[in-house]
Amino acid sequence: MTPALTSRRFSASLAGFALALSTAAVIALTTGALRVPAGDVLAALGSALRPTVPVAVDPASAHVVLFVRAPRLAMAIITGCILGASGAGLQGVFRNPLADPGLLGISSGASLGAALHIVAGGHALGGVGLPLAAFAGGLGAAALAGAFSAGAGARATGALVLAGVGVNAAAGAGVGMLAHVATDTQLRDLSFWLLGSLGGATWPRLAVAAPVAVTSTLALLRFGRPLNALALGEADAGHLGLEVRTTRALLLAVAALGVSATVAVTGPLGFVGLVVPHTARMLFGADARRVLPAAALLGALLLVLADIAARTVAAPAEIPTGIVTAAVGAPFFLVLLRAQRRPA
Amino acid sequence: MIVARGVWARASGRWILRDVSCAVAPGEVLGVLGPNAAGKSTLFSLLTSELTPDSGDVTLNGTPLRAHSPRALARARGVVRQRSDVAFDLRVLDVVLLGRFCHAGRGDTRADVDAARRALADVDLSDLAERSYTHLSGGEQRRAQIARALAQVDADSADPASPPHRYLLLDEPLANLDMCHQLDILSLLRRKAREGLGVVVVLHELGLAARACDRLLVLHEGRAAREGPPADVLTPRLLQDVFRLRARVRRDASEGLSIDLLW
Repeated sequence: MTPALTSRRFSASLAGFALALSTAAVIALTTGALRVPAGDVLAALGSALRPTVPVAVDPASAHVVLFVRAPRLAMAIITGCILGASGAGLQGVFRNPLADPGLLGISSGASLGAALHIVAGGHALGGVGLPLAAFAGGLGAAALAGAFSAGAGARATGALVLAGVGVNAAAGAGVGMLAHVATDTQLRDLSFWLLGSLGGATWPRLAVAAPVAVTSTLALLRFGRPLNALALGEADAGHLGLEVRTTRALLLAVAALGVSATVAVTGPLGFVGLVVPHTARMLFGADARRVLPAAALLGALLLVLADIAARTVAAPAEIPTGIVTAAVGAPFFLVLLRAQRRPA
Repeated sequence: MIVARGVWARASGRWILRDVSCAVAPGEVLGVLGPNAAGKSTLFSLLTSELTPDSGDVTLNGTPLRAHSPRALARARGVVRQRSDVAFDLRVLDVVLLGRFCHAGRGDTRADVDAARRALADVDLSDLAERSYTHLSGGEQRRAQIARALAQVDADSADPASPPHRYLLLDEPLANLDMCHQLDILSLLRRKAREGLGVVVVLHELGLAARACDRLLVLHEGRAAREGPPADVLTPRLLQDVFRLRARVRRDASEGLSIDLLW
């Protein structure tokens, strides 16, 4: 049974999720190995906006809030948004609820880029060297998959899935090879990166990733109606007046760009792009005009919550965020799945 | 008019259609008949621009199909294909509203929703508008697809960019329908033709085709075996030669043509 929400109730639900996200954001800024009261957080943020006005906040706390937690929170939000929205977009294009950004080879390509930088790149380009290498790898892999599936005409979507499988396998072999020749330190860095973590978020890295990811997310939100048309299949969508090939190419490019930009900083955060759109559909129905914004918001919420857990569960030690998203999200998803199957 | 002139089409090195021509004008129903593998669906795909002919051309309102943008084509004709599956769990009303895709700007306007509701009423599905499409029966899904195409070419809510002459193309729309709804759909197509739509419909039911269509095109082994008014086309001789059926054809002043199979 599809929940047939009125648009007012849908807007209210979205507002509710936005409120939950703001609450989670406050918690993310206050909690951690060092407890910073909400008032001090506000004061620190205020001092950052108006540096000339002196404020009475402990400099260590201010530093933690402004240069550790805030960029990390911002990264969690933009990453969650792009992963959720692009997952929803790709599932629509592939007409398959199991599609996710990994399908295009983005994550494995980014991993190969990161591995190359860690093992063979020394410390080229300082703090943004690794993300840039990963970004290039992710985008390159997606472009390669796209190039191999080009010219398949009506079967282009199926061909792209297969090309993605091939690119994934090749990139996986590359990462394996590099891991094999890596030193112990390099291997540790590499495997930590491969687990996915928001810990690497810094303002300079955000400055590179955020514009791309935010623009891509906003662009994806405009694909609601075309994705609904594509739900009928590519032939019928064409008869409805959709430029199927252009739409598909555009959406894939936007998703690849946005996801590559964030994966470059965080490493692969599996599961978000797959399960968040699913959850959005269960909550709000299959209309892509609702699924896209809901998936973006839910993705952000999931990642912010997962990162709070990653930083606090074993404090002062930290668990990679990728492990938490899977550990928290998977049971949640299974419960939803079960609840949905129960007869109304 | 939708006109196909001397179209040839090939698949895997075999000629599926050889030098077939046909035309449908606004206000008339053209039925395409033929045994299995006669080339009906290939001709249908050429008329909808899903395939391009290897030779010959297809025009819509005087312009070749490929010269129309997808959106302009969509405003001029609705298509119901043999098979349509919906990947996600959309409501029936949402599926029908997709017919308005080529008209609307951002959202579904009141005119769009009205057109969708009219189309649902036309196919007797008003009660199921809020249901999930994937939970409908095969016949109900088929009728929902017909409603989707009707909403697409709806006369009362056509936007200024729509061409004055519009068409409906349906490939075996009666498959999966019970007898009652088969008759309903055919009389609906007749009514829409009277209101000005040009209708092309691929059919298997010879007797129904004889009554519902203004003209028939019979395909046989990729060629046009005969074309014209039902009474001229469906002769015992043609039924024997093309369909390998022994039949008696009766012409009745009030009820039109009826075909009795002898077996």
